[in-house]
Amino acid sequence: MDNIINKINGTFHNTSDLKIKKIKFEVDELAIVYLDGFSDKDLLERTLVTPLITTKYDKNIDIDFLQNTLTYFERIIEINDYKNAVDIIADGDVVIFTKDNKMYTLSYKSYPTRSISEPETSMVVKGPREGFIEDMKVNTLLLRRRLRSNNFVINTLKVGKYTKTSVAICYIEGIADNHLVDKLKRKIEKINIDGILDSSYVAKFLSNNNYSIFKQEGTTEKPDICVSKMLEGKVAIIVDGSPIVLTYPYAIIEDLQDSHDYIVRSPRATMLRILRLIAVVTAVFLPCLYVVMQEFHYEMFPIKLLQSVANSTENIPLTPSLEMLFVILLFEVLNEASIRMPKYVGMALGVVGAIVLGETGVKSGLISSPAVLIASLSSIGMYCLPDLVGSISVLRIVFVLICTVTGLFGLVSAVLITIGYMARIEIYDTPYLAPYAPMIYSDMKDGVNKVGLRDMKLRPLSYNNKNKVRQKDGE
Amino acid sequence: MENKISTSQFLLISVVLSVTYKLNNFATIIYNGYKSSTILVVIMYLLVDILTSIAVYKLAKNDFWGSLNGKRRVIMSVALTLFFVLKMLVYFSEQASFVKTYLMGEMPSWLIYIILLLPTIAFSRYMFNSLARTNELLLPIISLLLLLNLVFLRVEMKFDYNLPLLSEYTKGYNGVFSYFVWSFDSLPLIMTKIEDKREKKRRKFVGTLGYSIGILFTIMIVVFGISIYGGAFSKVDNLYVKISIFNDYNMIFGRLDWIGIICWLTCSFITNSALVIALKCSTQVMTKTRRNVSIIPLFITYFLLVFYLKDVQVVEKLAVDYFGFIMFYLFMIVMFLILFMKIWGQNGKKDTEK
Repeated sequence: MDNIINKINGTFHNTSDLKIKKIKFEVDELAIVYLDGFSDKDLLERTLVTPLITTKYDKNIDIDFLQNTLTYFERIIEINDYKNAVDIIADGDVVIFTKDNKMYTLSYKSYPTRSISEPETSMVVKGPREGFIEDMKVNTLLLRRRLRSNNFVINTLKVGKYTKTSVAICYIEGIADNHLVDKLKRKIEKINIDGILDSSYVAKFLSNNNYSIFKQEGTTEKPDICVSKMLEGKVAIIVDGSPIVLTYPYAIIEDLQDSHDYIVRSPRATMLRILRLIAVVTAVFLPCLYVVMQEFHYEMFPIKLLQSVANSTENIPLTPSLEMLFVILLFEVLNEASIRMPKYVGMALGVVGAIVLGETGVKSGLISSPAVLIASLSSIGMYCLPDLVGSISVLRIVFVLICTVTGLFGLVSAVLITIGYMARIEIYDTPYLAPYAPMIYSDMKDGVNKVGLRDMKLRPLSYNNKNKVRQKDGE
Repeated sequence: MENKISTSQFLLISVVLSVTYKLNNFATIIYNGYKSSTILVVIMYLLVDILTSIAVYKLAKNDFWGSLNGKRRVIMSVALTLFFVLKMLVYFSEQASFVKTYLMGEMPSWLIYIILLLPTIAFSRYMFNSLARTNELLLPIISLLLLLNLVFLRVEMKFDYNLPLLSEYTKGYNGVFSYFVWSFDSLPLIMTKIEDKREKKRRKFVGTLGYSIGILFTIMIVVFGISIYGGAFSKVDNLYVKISIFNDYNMIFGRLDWIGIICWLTCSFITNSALVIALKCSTQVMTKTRRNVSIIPLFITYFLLVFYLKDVQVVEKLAVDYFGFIMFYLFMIVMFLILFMKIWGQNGKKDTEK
């Protein structure tokens, strides 16, 4: 027995949280091995150690004895491979070693997790409020509760040389495209990295355009959204330790859609989507158009607006482009600082940024009020689509820089290059700008314009899925 | 994959290619020769373009460019390369002149041409599939903006400026060959392959509708242009922009000609990009390489435009005096070759079967 214990200790490099309890019987001997912290000590003592100590047994220990003695456990599994046993211990479960080199495992894992709450990035006025948490099992359960079908499949893989993170590929058999599932599985299996700490790590390996500023994967923190995407034929990827679930394939229109749109009446949903679109266009183009109009084409302004802008910018020492860049960068710095700072300091920083910096900046004549107004409008618009903040933030700065030198001509040229680039992207055979480029007329029913649920008889044609019919009379 | 497009994409991009430069200077240039018969000449040129589009559509549907092989492709590519280079010379020059006139009067020409080339080079990397999608996304927006501009026009129009149609012309109809630089615009699409993955019927319907509206829209703008300007029409450059000046809402929203400027600029970038992508395909075949050798003719064009053909009027004079004829014959050679190859190809097939 001592040899086995030494071997285990050696394998785990004598780590201090490895717990080994030896129990002697008349003939045989066993060692209970587990990592401290994963299991409830009291429960372990009551349900595992005590029953074994109090039982007298004069034969060699076998699975029948364990099953009869440890009645708390539904299933005790015999393991044949030592490496497998080590992985199970590292994963937080308990392994029982016997003198004659037999190994048994029983699941004991219970560690503290965050409770299910509404995700801060996707709050809703009406509708389900549950959000994913960091524990994969809870997350899969949240999906199972909404998909009580034998066709809902979860395939789990382990990724990361040291972290051995569980990655679950979830899909609905009969709807999801099997080629896509296989492709994703193969790509995940190929990941050879030290550790996976978040779903975004996996996303980087599943993306074909690593240096693109546009996101390449659907993300959600809500199980209802995840299920609705799977019902469209998408595949969800849950990574243990991350509350963000990835969905593939992805088209940019997904970020314009919100779970709220499916709860309110469709005209209201259409209006909200148009507003979001306007907000994004404003966020990207307002700062650069301001620069273009001020630096090169002031005749673009209506006369009264021109007068008012001219009055406000009269004594500003910076050029319009430098001024705009300064205000945008100031906002980005404030934003970054307020996220990193403790909650209450962050709030104070927001007030300092908005009132003190903005107002004193304008009063001191360093920046003009139109520039502050435009940068603020742009920043507010940016957060109407929180998932696209990264791309919009980069784009608006790049466009301002381009407009500084080349004016409207350069802007049109840059916009075309950007749209052309986006049109070229295909994520697992799904065009990035679908259903508008290429036009897929049936999918436009859930595009900027949203029709009622009863009229959406087909699943999106933009994605490859096995079963196109969503409602029976759609056939 | 890179050059695969759908029927609606083909037709929508084809209408942009056919219309953009015709609404820039073409109508006003021919007004000098044909006066009130201008509208008939424009319609005739549009008809030539419609026929070209139909012919190219039929060829692209059968993956003409992809199915050609060996010497046949090389002979075709030489003719097409020359055709595209001549067209590029005129169109790039027109776009640069437009930018100088309407947008960046003080920007040096070399920089204008560089900015002008950037999206075209980018698209020559992205290829037709991406260009067609971009066009598909932007064209409805552009059409809506231009339509709103037309709907809210407030100007006195005398439609009888378009009449009498046939009595007043000086050059005679032989002269029409001079203007063929502005024709056969959908020829770059010969490099594409049409494939409708889904919604076949709808694609055909939307494409045909978009194409027809585009052509009618062009005719309407020319009619409006002549009706507004009368004898001064020959001095008008870019009808997109000039018509929007008369918009009723200029006082509220500011000068709405900016909408026309942005729309035309976008369309011209799309047209130029199509030319450069086609040039890339043809030069690759011509030189039998996978590399982007189109950069050489592009550089030559850039060099010529920046150092020798600085004035757009010089280029347009060259276009009317020489290029039109050359391009007409080049087009005829291409068509003759296609016809010949069809027979040649069939004979070849028969030979192999034997």
